[in-house]
Amino acid sequence: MKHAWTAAAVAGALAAPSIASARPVMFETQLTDYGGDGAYVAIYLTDRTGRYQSTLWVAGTKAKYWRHLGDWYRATGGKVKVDGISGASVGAGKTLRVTVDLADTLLDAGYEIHVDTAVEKMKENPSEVVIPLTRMGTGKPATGRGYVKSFRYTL
Amino acid sequence: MLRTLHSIPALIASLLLVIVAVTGSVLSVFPALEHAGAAGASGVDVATLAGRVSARLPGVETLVRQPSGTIVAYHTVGSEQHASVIDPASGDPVADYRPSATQRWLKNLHRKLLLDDPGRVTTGVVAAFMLFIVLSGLTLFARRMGGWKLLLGRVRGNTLQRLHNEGARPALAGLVLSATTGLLMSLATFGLIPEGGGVDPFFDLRPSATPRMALAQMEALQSVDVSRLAQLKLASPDDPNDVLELETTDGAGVVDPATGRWLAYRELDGWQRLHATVRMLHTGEGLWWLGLLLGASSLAVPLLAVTGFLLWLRRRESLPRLPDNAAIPEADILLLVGSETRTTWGFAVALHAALTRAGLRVHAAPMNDIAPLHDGIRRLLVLTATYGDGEAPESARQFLAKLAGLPAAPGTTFAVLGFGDRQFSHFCGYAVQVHDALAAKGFDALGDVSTVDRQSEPEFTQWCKWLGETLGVTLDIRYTPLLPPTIALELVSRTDYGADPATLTAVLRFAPPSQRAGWRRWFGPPRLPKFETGDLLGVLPPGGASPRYYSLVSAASDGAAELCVRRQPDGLCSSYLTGLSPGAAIQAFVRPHESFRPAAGADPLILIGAGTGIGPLIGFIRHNHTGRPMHLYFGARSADDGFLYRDELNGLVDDCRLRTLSTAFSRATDGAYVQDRLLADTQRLRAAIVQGAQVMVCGGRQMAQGVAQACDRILEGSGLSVAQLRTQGRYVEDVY
Repeated sequence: MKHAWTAAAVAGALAAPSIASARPVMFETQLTDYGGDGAYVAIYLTDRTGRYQSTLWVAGTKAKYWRHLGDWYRATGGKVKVDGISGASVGAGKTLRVTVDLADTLLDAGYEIHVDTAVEKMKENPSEVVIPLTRMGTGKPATGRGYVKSFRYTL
Repeated sequence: MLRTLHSIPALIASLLLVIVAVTGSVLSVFPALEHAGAAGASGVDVATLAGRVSARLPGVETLVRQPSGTIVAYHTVGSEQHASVIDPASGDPVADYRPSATQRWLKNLHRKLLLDDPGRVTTGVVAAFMLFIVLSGLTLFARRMGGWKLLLGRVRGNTLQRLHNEGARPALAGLVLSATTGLLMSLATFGLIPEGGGVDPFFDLRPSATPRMALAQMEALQSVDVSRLAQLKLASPDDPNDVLELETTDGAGVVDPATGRWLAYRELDGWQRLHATVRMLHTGEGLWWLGLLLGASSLAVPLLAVTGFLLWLRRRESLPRLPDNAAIPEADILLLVGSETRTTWGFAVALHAALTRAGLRVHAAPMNDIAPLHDGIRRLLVLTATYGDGEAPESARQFLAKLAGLPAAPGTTFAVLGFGDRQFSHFCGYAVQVHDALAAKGFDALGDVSTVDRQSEPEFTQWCKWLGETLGVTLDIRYTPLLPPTIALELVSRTDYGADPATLTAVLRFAPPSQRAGWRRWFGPPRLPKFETGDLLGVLPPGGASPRYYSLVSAASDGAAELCVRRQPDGLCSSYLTGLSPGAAIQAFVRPHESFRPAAGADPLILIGAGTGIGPLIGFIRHNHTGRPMHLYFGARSADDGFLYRDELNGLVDDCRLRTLSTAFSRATDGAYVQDRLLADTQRLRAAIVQGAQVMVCGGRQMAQGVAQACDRILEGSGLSVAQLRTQGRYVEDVY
């Protein structure tokens, strides 16, 4: 079980102008028992056309393996700053829980959450989960195509 | 010094080394198993393979070729991802792909001790230790063998030394390769050497048109044989802008799904190729036979760790405590000791203490430890015993070879004191050799070789007085003999031979006392120490300062220590022993004599002995339960006087443990010596020796010399000589 809390708001123009108009959002990613080593997981935000906006969390600390998180790496070149929004890789069958402060303006505004996963010597799954970030979607589990058994966010 | 550098890291890392080596050995089997199970796919190109698979598995996303050659297809059924092993000939899925959980666990134990980065760092350090230990061990081994060109020669030494060295020799190359590649992989993991491939993946490459070509038609895929495939990611059917990504063993690129041609291709850079090679060499993945060789080499590590540890312990125990031993860099006198039985060390300890009390800084070490001398060392003192016929004692076996390889140290003076027994023809012969070798090396002699006969304390003190005067100091010598701990043995029975009571020979059988004294009785009856036939029993006669050694007839497993002792005129110890009555107790200790044992195998043994020399030889014959051909040549005064073990020998012939028995009686009417019997059998003996027989000689020095000459005559024209046989361990002597 991993649980992390970050006070760092999502960077750039999307960041909350003040803490009053932001809210903590919990992302829960439960992995299948895929029978491999710890998974690298990237959770990030794109707009409705699929254009990258912001990184929410990266699990897996060795930057040289980030290229295997295909879509996220393609968007960021792996050069994004992940201080405070990264942690250890996630073991098979384990659940990653992270809480990120998100600006209210991001909700119901056409943004999508993507999850990329990769495991050493196993298949890579770019964007194996793609779900819209809406108030209605809170707590609704989604299933990924690869190692994600269940993914949900709670506003 | 190098020995310390070899053993200390090994002691620290041994447990981890064993874990990493043993898991490595087990892991090495997997690539071979996978190779055996993988269906061959030679001559098939990737386009054909991809076409076949996509026809059978419509949801296929990615094809991966494992280094073993197994093809795995990842495909989606409904919303679930599957991995299947593919038969490349048909494209059919033949089984679910399930990587072994055991293998993964072992691999994680092997490469990171089931921990994360701390484990990876540790195993990286272990690899570095391993490399260092192997290279320092190789250097020590070369020194031991007398040079790099002699690495393949016969390893000499006791059982433990031989196990350690002979166990290491075939494994050295494999261990160097495993350790080096493991270290490189570790350095790459932590970014301490470049991994290569730093350029970004291919971004924003799009298909040139919409309709997609059939996979089997794609030119780029046709250009790659399946044996060079690493991974092929097909274009997603849901995303019209998606492309194919193909990785091969040489490079990676992107293929246009509309034209089947490369949109971009990039070869692996030098670093990537290096790491791929390193990886293959380390894991054996893609090179299964090498993996098996490396795995077998790693199996030597537990053996080496255990024998190395025991050698280290034994060495520590064999060296006396020298509390004031100066470190080499601070020493101005180097005191080198050549000792077979530690008795010489007793004198060295006394000299070391006296020199230290006189204000000199002395480093004492076994002669085998000689290393290049630094400028501060002005004097070299050598105290050495002689073994056998002018040979080096145990702690000096490698001295002359090492000395020859050292740089000259002009201005250094030396003195050699030899210890020995004047009864022997080569009295202090090795000390003289050492003196001459040092002089030839350019050292300045402080004086001629001096000698000490039979541990004579006055002779030693006299030499120390001379040394003190030469060095300009007063030496206060306080000598106490250094002896191993003794045990009590009780005489159980004796059999006497011989007509003249002044020279009678007795076969004595000793056993531990039936009960221990005091509280020790709680530990049960005492046991015999470990010994084999041919080992020596050191006996301390009451009032005597130094022990006398007798060859053991029995092995510890026989339950008794049996000796053959002939009473010598004026012999303190022999008179004492032959005068014992059953029930009397002696103080004794065992000294191994590993060079005097029958060689392993079934080759014939030619046993030659005279007088009490029959002792260990009959012991070997008694233990000959396999019917190995043994031939005994035995010399005595006459059939009625000194024919030891007469009845038993006849019995041994009858039950075939002894093939032939030839006796020579010197005082018979047609008096003959064993050598005469040998020469009479020249043809038979020559044939046996040429075919691999071992010769074992036991008895007095004169007899042994006569036998050696006779054997050289027997071998004339055969291309062999006694000297040659000695170096191969096929002509061994126990001479007194």
